[in-house]
Amino acid sequence: MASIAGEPVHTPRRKQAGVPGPLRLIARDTLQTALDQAASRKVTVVAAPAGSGKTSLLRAWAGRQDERRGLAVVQVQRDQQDAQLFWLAMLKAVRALSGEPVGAEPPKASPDFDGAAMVDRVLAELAGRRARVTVLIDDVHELGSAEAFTHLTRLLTNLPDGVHAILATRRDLPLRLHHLRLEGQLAELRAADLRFSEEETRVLLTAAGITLSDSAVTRLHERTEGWAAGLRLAVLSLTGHPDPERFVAEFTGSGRAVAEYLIAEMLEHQPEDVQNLLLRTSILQRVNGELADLLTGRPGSTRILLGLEDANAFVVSLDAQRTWFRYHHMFTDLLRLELRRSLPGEVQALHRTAAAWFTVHGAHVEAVRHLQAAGDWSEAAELLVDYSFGMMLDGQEETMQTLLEAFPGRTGVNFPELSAVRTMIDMVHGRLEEAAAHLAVTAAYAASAPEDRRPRLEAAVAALNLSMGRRRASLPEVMRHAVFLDQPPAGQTDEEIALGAELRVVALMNLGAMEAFALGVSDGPRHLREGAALARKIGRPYLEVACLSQLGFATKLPDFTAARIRSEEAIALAEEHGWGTAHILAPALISLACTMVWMGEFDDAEGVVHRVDLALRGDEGPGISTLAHLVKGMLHAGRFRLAEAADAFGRAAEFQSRLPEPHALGGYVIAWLLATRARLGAVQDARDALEALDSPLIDSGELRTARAVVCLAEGDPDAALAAVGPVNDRGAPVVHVATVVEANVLAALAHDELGAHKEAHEALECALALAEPQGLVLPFVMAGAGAVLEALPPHRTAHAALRADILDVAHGTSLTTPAPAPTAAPPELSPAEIRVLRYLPTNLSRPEIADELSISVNTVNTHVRNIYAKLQATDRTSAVRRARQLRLLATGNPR
Amino acid sequence: MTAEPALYTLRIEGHLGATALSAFPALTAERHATQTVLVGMLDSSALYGVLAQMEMLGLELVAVTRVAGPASATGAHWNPAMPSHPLVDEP
Repeated sequence: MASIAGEPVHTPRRKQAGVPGPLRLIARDTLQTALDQAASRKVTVVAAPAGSGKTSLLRAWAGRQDERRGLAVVQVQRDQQDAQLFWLAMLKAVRALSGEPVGAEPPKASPDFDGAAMVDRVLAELAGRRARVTVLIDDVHELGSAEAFTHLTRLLTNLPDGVHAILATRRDLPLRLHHLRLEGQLAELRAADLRFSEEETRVLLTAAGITLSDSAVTRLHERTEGWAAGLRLAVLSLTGHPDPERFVAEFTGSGRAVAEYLIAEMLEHQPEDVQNLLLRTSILQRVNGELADLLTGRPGSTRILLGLEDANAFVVSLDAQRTWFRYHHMFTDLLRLELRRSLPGEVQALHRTAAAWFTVHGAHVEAVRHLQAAGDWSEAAELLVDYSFGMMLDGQEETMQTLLEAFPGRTGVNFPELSAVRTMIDMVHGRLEEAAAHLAVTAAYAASAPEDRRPRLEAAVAALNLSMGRRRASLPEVMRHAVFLDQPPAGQTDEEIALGAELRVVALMNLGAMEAFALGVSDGPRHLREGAALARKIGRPYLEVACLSQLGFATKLPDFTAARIRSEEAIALAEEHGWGTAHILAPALISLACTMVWMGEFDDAEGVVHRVDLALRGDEGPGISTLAHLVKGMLHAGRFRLAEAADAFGRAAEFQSRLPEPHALGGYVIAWLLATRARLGAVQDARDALEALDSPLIDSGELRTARAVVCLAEGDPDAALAAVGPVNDRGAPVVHVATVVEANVLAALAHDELGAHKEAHEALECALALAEPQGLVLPFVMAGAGAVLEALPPHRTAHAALRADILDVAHGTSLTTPAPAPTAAPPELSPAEIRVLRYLPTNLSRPEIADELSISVNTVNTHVRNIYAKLQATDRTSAVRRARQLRLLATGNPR
Repeated sequence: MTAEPALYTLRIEGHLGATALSAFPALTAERHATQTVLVGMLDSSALYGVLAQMEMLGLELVAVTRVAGPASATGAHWNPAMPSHPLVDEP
């Protein structure tokens, strides 16, 4: 009996985009034409049961396409629980279309996955293509989550012009494509369309060199009902069969189910080594020569696998190098059943061997699956725990959940170790209470674990405790668990060092983040920088973004502009990886929104605040929620939407009250809440709350400003002046210079009410001087200082530009900082030019400016000419507008 | 949809051999002319598991019938008058 697997061709035979060339596939012209015609529509769905020839048809079609037509192929893996991995594969395939330079950052998985953002990225990649593109997605039915289908629907209904998608599936999918159907943009090929006609059956047999009588062909076609898999199996059995007519007679005469009969026949006809390989490797989801040699206990598997693929025997290679193969699912399932039936004693050992191989090669998910299949539950649990940290970082929490569920009985009782994995999954989903309960179980178990397990478990417990401490915003808790940072990284093997390094980064991030959040601790930025550097070194961009994002928040004091730059850097790096609304980015987004609000860029801030909400996804951690509501309150207060502001500050205060110890911005929350209530007219309530306040912050600058607002609302400007006096003398502690600005603004309002205009102007000038370096607009707007500021003549202030900015914002304009044009660097103005520039927003004439600066009018003229040239302006107004856009009117110019 | 197991019969085109039958350990098989009838007590998860398995094996499903409602709480056990072993097709 001849083997179907002849001598393989040892060359990668690929056309494009990793699509194998057609392998003895007959040209099914009718179907090819149908696909060609369908390609003018948006979406084609090929829906037919297992073995209908969907994949072969699509491969043949893809192989015939013009090279200039882009083709992105995505194969959904079997039981793909983590939609993220599917979308990453999709993004990678679509990116490959544009022939990205090698070495471009490949998309990486992360514990934060935002499907909607991912769809946007894929659409953006597709929209940027000039040539026509086909996106081919095979085995779509394997997608595990409803969410994945929701996102896929959005992708399919928003495909750019010139992009066509083909989906192959066994089952009709929960994709809501009725709009496309109504618009005639949906083509469908179903099981009946894919059936081989009798003529095609004849062609198929002839192509395979099989000679059969007409009646035998007819019988074979009737018996298989033109089912592609049945015909292909029949061809494999008939190849080299001494009596093909007899084979067909026996097959068509038997009452057996087609697939089972033919697979059994085909196996029967294979040489013993091929049978052996197919049966023993059927336990795998993917196989390569080395692994197959190991499972069969003999060399030569690579050749057999290549031969089987060449013979089109339900074996396909997964990569261009043809090292990994998978079998047709239906084929695999029947082989597995046959293996269990014929070699029941070997199944367990095979799974163990496979698990060991996958463990050594770092494929931990597959290793755990095989250990579970072997019934080695304790080993499976240990392995899952050891690598769960990495799996979580790789965004595989759904897979982890599935692996957990595969353990027998009540895992918490039988496998206490697994509570570490449960802790992580709960933490990723923000279920802190459940996470804490599982963590307690893990810690208790770690203490009594066997000697060899203890270090690993204790490390995991430490890492989880740190994350927990940060989510609960408890610095002492974090400090207590971060002690191991003082010890040099221990570990014998590279792998242990790597595991240790990941843990170290997480520890540094949590510690630094907490220090930044706490009152009066200054080591935060240092720890976060160290963490970011280490993350970069070990190639964990997700952790690097996490550290940088926290760093954005950590550097908010004393200078908002520095925090803004840090936050923008973190956000840029995150966006590169598609983590623009990832949970870890929340601190940077909040920090950026915060600085924008301080600087009066309310519209842009609103957009960022929206992203904060997306990133937090309902996370109710008290620390981060306090900050998120605080920034919302600031934004509303700046726009004078007082009721909304009071509501947001109130929610911030609520979350703040759940914090175990005071945090850096605590004073602002309480002060602004009270001030906003007083401005809303609830003066008595604000006064009562102020008197009842029992807080160490009572004498802080922030609360003194609140007291002044209440006094002003009570009509007692003298008391207001008394309240802010110590702030302006720099006697009272303040979080940030912005508080002193606010105190001066309130003093100016009080003086103004008392009719002391000179003092009012002095206080305002003082506030402007302090606000200028960071461009602080909010304190003026929040306090409603517009009228007082209007009364201050522009030529009487050295800060006319800032004054104009503030008045613009007070009148409802939002300032903007446009993204710098990528082509041109911002123009460099000399210090002398900057000095002149700052007088342009005023209504001073050139001679008056010359007087103010003690320079000649000629010099002023020269400077103004140069300024116009550099800013590409034609007059004073456009120069000022351009200068504002470039933020040249603040000396604390961040660029 | 019932949470309690109920008695189902599933009719498949063609005769199943030992290999395919081993995929349905919870069911008993009977041969009817050109078809195979599988019978067993299944709750809904088990039923859909069986259907998915049939799909994977490329079997042609002809009919699914719920013969009897959920077994009552009094524990009336249905005892199928079935061959004690699944039929194995002799080649």
